Amino acid sequence: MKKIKNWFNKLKWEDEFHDEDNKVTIPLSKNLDENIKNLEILFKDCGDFVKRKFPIGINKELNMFIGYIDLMIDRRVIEESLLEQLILQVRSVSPSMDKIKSSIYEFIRDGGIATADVKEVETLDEAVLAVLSGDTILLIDGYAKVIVIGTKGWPNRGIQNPDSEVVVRGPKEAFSEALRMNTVLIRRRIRDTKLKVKQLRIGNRSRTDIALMYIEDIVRKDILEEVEKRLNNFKIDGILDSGNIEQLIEDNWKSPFPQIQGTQRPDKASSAILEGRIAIIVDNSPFVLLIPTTINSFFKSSEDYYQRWSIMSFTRFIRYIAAIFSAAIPGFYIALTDYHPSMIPTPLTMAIAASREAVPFPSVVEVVLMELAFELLREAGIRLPGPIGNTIGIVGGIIIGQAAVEAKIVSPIVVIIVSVTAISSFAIPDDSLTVGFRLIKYLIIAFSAVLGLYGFLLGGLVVLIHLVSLKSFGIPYMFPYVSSVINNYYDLKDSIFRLPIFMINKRPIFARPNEKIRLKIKNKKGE
Amino acid sequence: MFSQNNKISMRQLEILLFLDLFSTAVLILPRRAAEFANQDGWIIVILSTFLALFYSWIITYLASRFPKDTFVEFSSKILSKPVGIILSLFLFIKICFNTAMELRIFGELVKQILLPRTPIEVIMISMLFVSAYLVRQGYEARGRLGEILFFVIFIPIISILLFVLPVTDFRNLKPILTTPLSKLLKGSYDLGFTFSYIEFLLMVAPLVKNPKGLKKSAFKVIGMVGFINVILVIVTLGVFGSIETKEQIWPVIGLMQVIEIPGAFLERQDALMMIFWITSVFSLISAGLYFVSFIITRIMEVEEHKFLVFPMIPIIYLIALIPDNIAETLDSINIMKNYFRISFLFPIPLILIIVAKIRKLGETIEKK
Repeated sequence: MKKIKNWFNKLKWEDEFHDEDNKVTIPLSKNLDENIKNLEILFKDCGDFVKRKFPIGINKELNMFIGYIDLMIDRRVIEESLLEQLILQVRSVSPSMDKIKSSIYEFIRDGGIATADVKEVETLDEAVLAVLSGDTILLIDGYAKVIVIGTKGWPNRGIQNPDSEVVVRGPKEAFSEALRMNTVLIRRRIRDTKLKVKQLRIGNRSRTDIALMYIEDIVRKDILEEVEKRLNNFKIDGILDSGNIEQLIEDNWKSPFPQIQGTQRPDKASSAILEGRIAIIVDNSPFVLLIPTTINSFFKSSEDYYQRWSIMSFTRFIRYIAAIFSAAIPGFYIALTDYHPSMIPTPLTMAIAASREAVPFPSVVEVVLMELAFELLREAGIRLPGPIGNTIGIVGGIIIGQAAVEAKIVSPIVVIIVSVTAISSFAIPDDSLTVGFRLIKYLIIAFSAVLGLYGFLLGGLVVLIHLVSLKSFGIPYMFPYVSSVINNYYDLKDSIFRLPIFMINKRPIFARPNEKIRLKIKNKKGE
Repeated sequence: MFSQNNKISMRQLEILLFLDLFSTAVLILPRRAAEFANQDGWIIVILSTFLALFYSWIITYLASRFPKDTFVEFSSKILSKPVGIILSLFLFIKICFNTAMELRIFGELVKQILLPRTPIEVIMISMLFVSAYLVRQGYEARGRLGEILFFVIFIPIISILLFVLPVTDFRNLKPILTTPLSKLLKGSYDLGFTFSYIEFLLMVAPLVKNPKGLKKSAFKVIGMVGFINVILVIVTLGVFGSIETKEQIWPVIGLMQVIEIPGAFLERQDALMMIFWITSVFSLISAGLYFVSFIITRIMEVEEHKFLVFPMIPIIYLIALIPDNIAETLDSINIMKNYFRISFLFPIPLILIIVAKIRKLGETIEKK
């Protein structure tokens, strides 16, 4: 019993130094030695904490303390702008220590540190958090305040190419793990003071920085409030990726479809912000969340707006068809071959029958078998490193496929069906939506296997019912295709087809109703 | 937040009404019309449309007098609570029965055309459960689904008409106006009941964002459905002639068998065209299920209607199983029709209006 009690106590964040939110409760003291003692208690056994107590002044009469986490800081800033200033130059310049002794704190804060990013905090909790986020703290004897010097500078992988949303034309930058770098990538695209970067911290232990980016006068206030409300609605120990946040604030956890869009591309995020959406940037995650989201946004690639409208409209249309194919083809095949062979033209029926002649399984088993084999291939291909992954593709796809057909385990037509389904699923620009359609596929297979074409239709209806009942932050998920009247059918211009860019002169539903105009053309062609 | 409440827009209501009216009726309409007036059947359809306009005028007049109430509430207000509840239960039974018969006919048809070896029970139960899934998502989801299904239903109809038009023989419609007037009137009275789903309008007012345009919308939809019905009847009569039309149980399905789309991948377009039929019946059955549970919710005065959806399934299912075969189903529909069908279209709303006027209840429509 005692053991269990202990275990519970361990689970609690609360101890003599921390409150229930894992915030440090020790007060700052005027006595430097006491502060150092407290810091040492907190940072006990933290080998990465670098600290130094040093005296300044000609007579070394004033003690100071500096602390930071090793390698999370930019060493040059500390050495050149801080230590050199404090230790070397303070000793050599006038006024002498006696004259300024009463205002030494202000003197150092305002004149002793040669960097712009300096702030002061008054609680130990903030100071500790600053240290843990890569800043440097400076404590001065006799003052219950801490100077925090912005010295963040840890190694990261820099800006690289996006690996999931590749485009032919358009910028090739991708978000990275550092929050500040990601906000910069957006800020460079929207140079407007109305682009707000609202920062908050989530995670009692991880204290992850999260930034909400939006344009103040375009974003819908109700949606912004809702987002903030949902972000403050939970307490968690750690956020490791924006995916955690996404699942905690989405509307419907039961749905296989993503209700929040994640993107790796700064241009996509910027375009979303310009449309009045909110971007949530999570530190340590290269995926930025875009809120709210409709199913239509998943079918858009940022390239759609950089290339000419006719080809992009065509591609959009193909993507929609691909999405339907990736969910429906196997089910449709089963429904037709098992229940309604008379609906297929006779020569084709003969061909299918001939190819299935020696296959021992009913077509449902055949299709599910091949689909699962494909899922295996996909999973194995992701996990394996690059070159070996390709080998898996060749071995699995070509050799096993060929062998399975020759061994009469599956019929060639099923191989075709499964391949077309797979190719279609890759044509959807957003991977998280692909996952939804992949799961739906099995539902439709099940319905079709039991009730033929009627079941196929019922399965489709179930999916449709689910889709229309979904909402993302109050916006219907199927938006431009349903309830389009609330934005005067405007959003249909940029849905299955993307009309020429001069026609898309108003912002979509995400923007505030009185801030709709986004494009004005002075002299229209042909006038 | 916008569209957070369980309300639909006027446009969505129009689409739902369109889907509801355009249901079994469209499949049996040509046969019924031909039975009454042979080649003059299309005249009956026109007259019945006008009759439906009249019914909808009365119903929407009543509904817009009480824009915040459903039938359950305003009938209780007008004729005291016990009478109101009895009337509502009456309506409940009627919708239950209609939905059940609709389901039965649907099951028979699916069995006959698509799934000859599947038991009809499975077909009906699966349909009921999918409908219940929709009903549980609320009326707003229904409105949105309607917007998508509209195209699924509308495009096949238009394409049927386009493909059938070349083989239509308009000589089959001659001679015009040989049917006696009494027969025409009787037929149009009878066919007017294909529009009987406008009685749903008695209950939708609180579900619509701005119920003021109810009358206009109802007129628009009835006009449109009537127009398509007339064309469909003309085409069917033109293709089959009145005698053959009378003999087919489902003349429009027969129409689908006639057409051959050049170069089409699938043979037997009729089965493919079942898509539109299944979806439109689905919308009808889910409407029935919705209003059945909605009435009960309102009578019991509970907020949440989700829990009352599943108890309705066995009720409707058991009613649907009562007839032994399709002929008996059609018979029982006719029997029920003779006693029930007119009640909520004309007499009850009229009595309610008169009493409401005398007792000065409800909002009077402001005249400018």
